Amino acid sequence: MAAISYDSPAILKDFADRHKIEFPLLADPQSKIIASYGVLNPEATGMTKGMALPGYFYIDANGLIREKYFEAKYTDRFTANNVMAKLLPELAEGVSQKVEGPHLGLTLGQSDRAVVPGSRLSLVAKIELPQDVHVYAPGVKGYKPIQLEIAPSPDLELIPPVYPPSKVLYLDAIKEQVPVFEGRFRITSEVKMSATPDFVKSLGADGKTITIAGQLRYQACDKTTCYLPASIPLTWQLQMLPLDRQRSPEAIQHK
Amino acid sequence: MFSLCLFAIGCRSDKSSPSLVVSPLTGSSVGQKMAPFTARDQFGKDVSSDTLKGTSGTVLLFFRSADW
Repeated sequence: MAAISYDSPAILKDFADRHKIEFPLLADPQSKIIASYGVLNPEATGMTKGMALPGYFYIDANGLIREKYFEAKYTDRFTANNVMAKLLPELAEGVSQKVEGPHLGLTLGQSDRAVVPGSRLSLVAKIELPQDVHVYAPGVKGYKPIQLEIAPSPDLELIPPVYPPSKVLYLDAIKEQVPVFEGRFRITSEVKMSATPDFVKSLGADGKTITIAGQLRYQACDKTTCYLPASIPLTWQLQMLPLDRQRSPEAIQHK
Repeated sequence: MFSLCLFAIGCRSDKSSPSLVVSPLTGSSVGQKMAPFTARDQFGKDVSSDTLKGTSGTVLLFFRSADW
């Protein structure tokens, strides 16, 4: 893991010392590395000339680029935990909470506990169904499919949830084949936090806690019974932190 | 610790920034070989792209600035 910018080593040292960063922050003051990866900002002028477009590359052990994460707007950023959750879910840190619901076990997760404006993070519903119980998957006709819904809010932008591949089950009682989920699976929904000036201003000097609300709707069935459709209210708590406005010491600042 | 470290980089206030809209197609393409490099880190040590390679791969984060 390394981070690269057009800053001098002195700027990076000052920043790393303040934030106790120990992984490599690499100085590219001539922007040669930035240009070689095709991320030189062509519109940057003045003191920003030479800066990179922000984002991540994941490179495999053989040196091949396997994934990249760049947002359409520079103010929007994938969080590091969100990227790690996509690349190496077994290593991803996160926050989780168990929620009670009929006919299934549910644990809510989130990639980050605290983020800054513009952050793109993931919210997860991890579901565990008892043996012989299934829920209907999106695309089913005539039954209520499982749906993870995040409530709209002016504080965030919703990104459609991602469901795992479903299994086709043949129901002998009704002579139908239907898409279902069984066992353990997860539904992930990403959200992008606002970065508008009003929202940034509302955070003040100390930030604030945001509640993200949602619902999990589903209909569970076992071998003999289809239960009434259920809807579980969900909440995720997120600490919004203000942007860091402290510059480097004047002697080493970009001019 | 990993998340705290990168979180700090994401905190920058981005003053005086051009209004460019970045396409998700930005940068080197998936499937391309990584461009080799050597650069100095915050400890004054020269780090090469070869030394960064891990058994699970490498994550390179490009960010705008640690200054402003």
